[in-house]
Amino acid sequence: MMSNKEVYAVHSVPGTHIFTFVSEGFYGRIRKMIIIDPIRRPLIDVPHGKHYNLAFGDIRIKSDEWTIDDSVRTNNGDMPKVIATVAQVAVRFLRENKKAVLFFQGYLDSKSIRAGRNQRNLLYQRAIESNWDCLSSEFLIQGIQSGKIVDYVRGIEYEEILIRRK
Amino acid sequence: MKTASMVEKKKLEKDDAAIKKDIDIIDDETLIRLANAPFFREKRQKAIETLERLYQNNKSF
Repeated sequence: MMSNKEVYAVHSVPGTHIFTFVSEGFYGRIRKMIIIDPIRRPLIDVPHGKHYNLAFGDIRIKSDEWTIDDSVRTNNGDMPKVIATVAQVAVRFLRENKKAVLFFQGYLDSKSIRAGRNQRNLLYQRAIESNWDCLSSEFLIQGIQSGKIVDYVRGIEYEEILIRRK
Repeated sequence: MKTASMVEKKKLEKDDAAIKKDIDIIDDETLIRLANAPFFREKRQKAIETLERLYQNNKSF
């Protein structure tokens, strides 16, 4: 699955769900980090699984120290490859954690707000839809629309996405 | 001919390069520290709030 897509080599921290890779593009080499965090809260305890949040960001060297770069969204010209890499990490995680419900939401940066669209979510959705046959046979994919959880329908924009194994 | 200060400067530059962080090298302890940074904590908190709201509105899920 997702094997037809070009992806970056990913390093994972043993015993955690922390991942990193280096994006290569217009602005040179940018290190990215993915974290899949368990969310333990009584209100969202559901019988069929444990929730995890997928978060994603850039890290950089500043004053010779590694730090989070939350200044701007980086458009390094390789977003399809970056998103395919994130998607591959998510799929592997869900295969290894059969009871996991993975939640992810793109964030709204200034460009997204101006465009009135959540650009990163759209890219996640594009990754899902371009692999729909494989993904939908293995995973239950749901979208969030106006605060409601609904079955994912291709071509519709969602605010957030939930994925778990069938 | 190189002066003593030039030699010293070269040596310092060399030492500096040796300890400079490299985009290709990051240790796991640093990644774990960054995973607990406010940036990711805020994302986690936002996800918790969104999910709690969702499950309150979608009790049959």
